Amino acid sequence: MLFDKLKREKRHTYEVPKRDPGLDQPLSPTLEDTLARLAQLTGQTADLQVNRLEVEGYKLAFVMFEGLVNYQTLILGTASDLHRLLAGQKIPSCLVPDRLCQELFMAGDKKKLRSFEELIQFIASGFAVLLIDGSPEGVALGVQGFSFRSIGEPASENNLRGSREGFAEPIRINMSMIRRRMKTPSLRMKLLKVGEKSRTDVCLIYRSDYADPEMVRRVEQRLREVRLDNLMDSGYLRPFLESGPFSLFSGTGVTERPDTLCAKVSEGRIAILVDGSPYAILLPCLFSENFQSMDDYAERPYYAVFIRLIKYLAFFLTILLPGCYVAAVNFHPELIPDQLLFRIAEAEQDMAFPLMFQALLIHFIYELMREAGLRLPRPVGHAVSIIGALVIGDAAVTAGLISTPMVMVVALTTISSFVIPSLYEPVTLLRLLFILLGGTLGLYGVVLGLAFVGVNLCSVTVLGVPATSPETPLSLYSLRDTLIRVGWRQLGQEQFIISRTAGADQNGEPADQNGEGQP
Amino acid sequence: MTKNHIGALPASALIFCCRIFYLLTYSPRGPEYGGSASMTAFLAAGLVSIGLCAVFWGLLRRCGASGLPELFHRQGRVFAAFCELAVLLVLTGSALSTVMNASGFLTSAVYPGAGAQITAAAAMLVCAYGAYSGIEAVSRMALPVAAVFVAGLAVAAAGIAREIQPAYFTFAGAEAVPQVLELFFQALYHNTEVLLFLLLTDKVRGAGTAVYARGVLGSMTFYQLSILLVTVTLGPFAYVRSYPIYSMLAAAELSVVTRLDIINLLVWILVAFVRGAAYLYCMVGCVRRLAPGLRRSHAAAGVGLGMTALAWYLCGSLDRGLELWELWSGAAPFLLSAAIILLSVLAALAAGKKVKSCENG
Repeated sequence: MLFDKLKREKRHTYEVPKRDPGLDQPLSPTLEDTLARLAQLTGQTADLQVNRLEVEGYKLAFVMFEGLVNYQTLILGTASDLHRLLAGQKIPSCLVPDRLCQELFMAGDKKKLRSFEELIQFIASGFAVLLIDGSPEGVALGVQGFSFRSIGEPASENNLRGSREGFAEPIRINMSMIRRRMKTPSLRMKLLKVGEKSRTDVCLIYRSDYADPEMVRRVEQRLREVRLDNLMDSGYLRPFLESGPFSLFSGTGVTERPDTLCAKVSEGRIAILVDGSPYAILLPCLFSENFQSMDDYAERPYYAVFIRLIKYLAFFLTILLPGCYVAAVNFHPELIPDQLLFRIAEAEQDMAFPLMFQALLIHFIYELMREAGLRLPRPVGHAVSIIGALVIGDAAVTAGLISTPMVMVVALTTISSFVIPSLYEPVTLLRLLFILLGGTLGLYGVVLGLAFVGVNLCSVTVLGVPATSPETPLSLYSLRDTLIRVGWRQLGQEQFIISRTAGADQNGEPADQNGEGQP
Repeated sequence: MTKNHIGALPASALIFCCRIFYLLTYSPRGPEYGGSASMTAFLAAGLVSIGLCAVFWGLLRRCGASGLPELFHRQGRVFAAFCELAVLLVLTGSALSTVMNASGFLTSAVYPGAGAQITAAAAMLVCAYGAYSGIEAVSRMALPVAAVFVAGLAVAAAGIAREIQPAYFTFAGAEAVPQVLELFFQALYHNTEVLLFLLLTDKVRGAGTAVYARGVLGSMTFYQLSILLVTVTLGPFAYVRSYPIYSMLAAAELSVVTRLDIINLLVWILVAFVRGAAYLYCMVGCVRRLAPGLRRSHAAAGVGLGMTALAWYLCGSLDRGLELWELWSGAAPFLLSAAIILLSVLAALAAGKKVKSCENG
């Protein structure tokens, strides 16, 4: 009965994504019929502009959406050229589109179109479409002039050295940033459309000399199989590209930096740009890459090694420290040095809540404040830090809700989590999991949790490449750029190719991952 | 050829972890002759185990099979079902004894008075998740676990170095032979890893005796080092301890850390997880071959929950747990494993001869 109710609600409230009807219809040779059909399809939307004109006896119409077109280029360039091209000997209307495509050079991009689907696609992308009475074809002119955020510093990937350019929302801008950085003819960009209604441009980027063709084919296939109504961000695509939906860790990476993308693509990876999103997807992505940054390659090797070790330490600190602290104090006090143990006991004796509850409470408060700080308007945002300092730093301790050592533990944990921002989501949940395990089962629970997390991580495989490579399966030579970073004189001699890393299997995903394969 | 390819190194690490399990709760019985009796016995047992694997593997190859399951299913459904059930029995006992051994150690040495049932059930559930994740994930995890074990042993050696008394180590003479033999057979029977390996060979890239031998030789090396370390640091005190390695680590000191028994806890639980997950994975395979229409996730859930319930039941009473331990410490699992392998090989060879004689007229 409950299932029936759920099914009814689903049918009533939800709609399966499907293509807009009637778009496959070809354009009519009669201009008025085409315009009438267009008005019908768009429901006479207010932002559709239709400018009719007659040039040298030809009836024409420019169709565009308001605000997407550069009117100056359109009027001064294209429109003025029309008189020159259509003057003189009269040609049949059906041949006008060909002539315009060959001889009209003020518009950068010119494409012929034949169906309403293409027409709407182009005008929604900022093209101006020229329709000619008597021709079943139109000409899309690349005179885009829509507003977009300018190229600025990436918000989520800060570096001390290296480029300060980050991706913007328009896909073409991002494609140009990559092309400018990699001037090799082997760089390929393949455009697809994803989203039944949004028809969002998605660009597959790879290097034909390094990327495995089978890998590229599989990624393209997966993208074509995506059934979404609207694709608004690259994050929507990630679940369709990963193999295990229940894994804590992802086998795909995300970057806002064109230099990072170029470096990854040069290792045989595939990058995916999504129109409207400044974040590019990279796959496959190894777990050890979360501890790498572009700064590592700009600094001297000894410092880069030091920083990477700090990052690995920070990762283990942030997930294990609160849980181990709770476990050690509750179940294994003999492990703590005597002087420290006495201080902790002294601090805890007047606390109202048990240690596990204190840890959960303070992490909950911290996550609340962090989320509030993200969503608050900037003028009010600084109030969050004041509240945080007062509430957590002073009032909670004075009121006996949490102890001073716990505040220290949480502070260290929180700072450590910001060292590896790409792992923030799994780390936040794991921290809570280990607190629960440590508080209930002691260090035994923490180690069982480690085993669980470890095997979960080891099971992540994307496009046949294990995420834990090259640590396990082990590739000794490839370790030169994971825990450590050898100098550029050695690194630059050979190029790492991801599809050939230890454990990579290009015959397909391991059958274990599919759920229905061999036992 | 299946699509699964476990590398040779992760497979060897898996065998290493499975074999190293009993070292961490190694408990001497009777006079030890300065540790040399154990070292001799374990060394001999390891070499014999490699020899047995070579023989069985050779027989499998002679039958033209890439793994044991293939051999079972050549002789018809009834024979296959019989063999799979027998293998399932061995695997069940091995997985249970792993988890219950774990629980027994924890509730006697680390958490005295803690509930054995909850510790066993928690471990079994995590092992079940490991089995669900697949043998590739478990074998990939075995490599860092092996590395943690080696690093832990190195840290332990550094922490207990000040207590080393080489005089504690003596070579056993002829009078130690009976005890060496007893320990040899004990060590040999403890390991059903030959069966485990032969069940997984079709998934291991470049499988052969060398993969198995590397795991065994590695585990033997660290067996020798660990027993030597315990002997030269604890001396006769080791013989009166239930878990001498744990006691040695508790006495070790390094800087501000006044005891290192946490290493035993950390390493041993991870090793127990790898071993338990590997056996449970093979059990899932057996169940799916017995019921071909069953989805992997359903089989893993069924095996996991069933084994958790069984562990809960057996840990509910000390007598029940001891009964299983006594049974599984003896020759039963090892002899049963060897019997299954030999029976299926002989059946395959006999069937091969019958086909040839029919062809010859």
